Amino acid sequence: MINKQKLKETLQYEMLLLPALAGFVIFFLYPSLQSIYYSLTNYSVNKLTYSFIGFTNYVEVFKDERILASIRNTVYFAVFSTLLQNALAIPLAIALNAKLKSKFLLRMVFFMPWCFSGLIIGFLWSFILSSSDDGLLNHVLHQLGIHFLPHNWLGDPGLAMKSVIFVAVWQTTGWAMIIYLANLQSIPAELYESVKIDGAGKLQAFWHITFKFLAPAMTINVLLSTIGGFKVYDQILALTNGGPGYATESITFSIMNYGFSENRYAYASALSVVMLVIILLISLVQLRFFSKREDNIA
Amino acid sequence: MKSITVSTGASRKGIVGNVVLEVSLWILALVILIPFYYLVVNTLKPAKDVVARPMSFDWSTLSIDSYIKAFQDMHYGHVFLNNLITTGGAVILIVLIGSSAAYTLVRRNTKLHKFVYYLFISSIIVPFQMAIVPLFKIFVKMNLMNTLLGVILVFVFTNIAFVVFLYYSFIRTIPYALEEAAKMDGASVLRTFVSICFPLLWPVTGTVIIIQSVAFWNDFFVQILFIVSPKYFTITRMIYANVGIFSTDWSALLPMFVLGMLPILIFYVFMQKSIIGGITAGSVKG
Repeated sequence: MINKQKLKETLQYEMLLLPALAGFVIFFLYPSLQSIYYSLTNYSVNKLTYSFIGFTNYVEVFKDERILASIRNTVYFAVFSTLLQNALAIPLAIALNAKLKSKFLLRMVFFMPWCFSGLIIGFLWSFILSSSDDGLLNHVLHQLGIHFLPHNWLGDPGLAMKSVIFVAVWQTTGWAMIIYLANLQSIPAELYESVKIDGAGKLQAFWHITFKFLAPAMTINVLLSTIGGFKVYDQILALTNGGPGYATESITFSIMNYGFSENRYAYASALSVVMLVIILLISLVQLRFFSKREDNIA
Repeated sequence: MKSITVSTGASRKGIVGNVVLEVSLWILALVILIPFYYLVVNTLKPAKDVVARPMSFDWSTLSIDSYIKAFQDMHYGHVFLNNLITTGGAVILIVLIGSSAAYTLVRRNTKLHKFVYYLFISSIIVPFQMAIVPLFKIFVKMNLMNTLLGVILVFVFTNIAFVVFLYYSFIRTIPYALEEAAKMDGASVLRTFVSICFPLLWPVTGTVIIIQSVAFWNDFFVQILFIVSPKYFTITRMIYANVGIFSTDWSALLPMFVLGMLPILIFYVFMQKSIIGGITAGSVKG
């Protein structure tokens, strides 16, 4: 009788877990594992049968100029958007932590772009940066008499990725700022008092206390921004559609291109596994580095 | 007397410093605001002026005709409804099954449950791109291609791991003793969870609702993968399709961008405290 009661309770518990677990397995875990499996085959939509071909897809991936370019572009984007975002967000958070009359309104303004879809923000900036004379930025520059500065911001292969990074930083810096602000508010004020007594200047106080104690927020911001950077797609699609040529194509562009335009499923799967491995490696390195920094404050 | 003058001198310097800081921050804020300003200005004038004079603004030619046209071209009411269905459906589903799954994982706590928990959290880092090619095939087999239900399911199950993780950390802090009395009275597990545990989870539920609503509402990637017919387009997907049709006819497109941003802007203005709080809570835990 007691056992029956117990069994009933156990079943009731598992019924609560089941929907989440089943859906997760069917729609995420199983397809992800299947990608690894497909990556070792020559599977494609046009074939009825497929066979194991070992690591051939991986060898080809690393010979494919277009894919290598997309990996380089993605790393460049992830690294520089993360660096810039954090380099701007820290001073911004410190400034907005001061006793300012309009600090809440200012915070709201700086955070706002994050709320909008990356696709629409990308299109908005492609209007502003467009190369033709009616492009807003070029128009302004001409009117100001700065005639050497107007550029084909999104069409010049040397500039396009930099413009894409600018837009990403423009959109996400406010978000990083909010995380830093929350962290700043948790730094005990006594610490600043004590370095004041020691006669330290503002810069030293920043270096020895603020910067050091922002370690947890920095870990989160750098990690999430890097991972997000590796998945970038919407903004680039709207801004440059990967062009000019494939100067701004990210890894996701390559996966979409080989997986859905050319129907080379196995090849695209191999690329997605490469993407996972890169994200895993970089996250592990970053976590190790940043957790050491966090240990230093404890 | 002397010390007083010194201290007021210092604080006056502080006040001046703060005013300078505040003014510079507002100048910097223009970098954020100006693009939105020109976006809106260029939707309120005759089409030919958008190209010829993008920076000008003239009250005498003010017109909202472009919005009326954009509203119709986008089938705004329809795409808005699709957005509401996918975002609303996915958020409700993810809250219900995410919280209940986390509840079982905390309360049962066997080796197997620990394994499931670690399976969830280690998948958080796996990019959705890993799953898309096989998922495409699964969707075709299950007749989920080109359906709103399919979009909802992808939304829910590519984010469920993170949501379970948020709930798990919170439920662990709720003492089991609270539930014991209800259990003694013969309440079922479900009933105990719904009536005693779930109401205590509001802080997490709020965070989940806010983070996921914004993410689902703005999604484009899932739509482009799994939705083909305009009947099921959401706002971003429709805007993308229209950019294809109108090419760079900015006078037709800019009002669509504004209409696309408007719902989330309204949500942000009214909910900004909760949004910022939710983002902070969600990422500090994650």
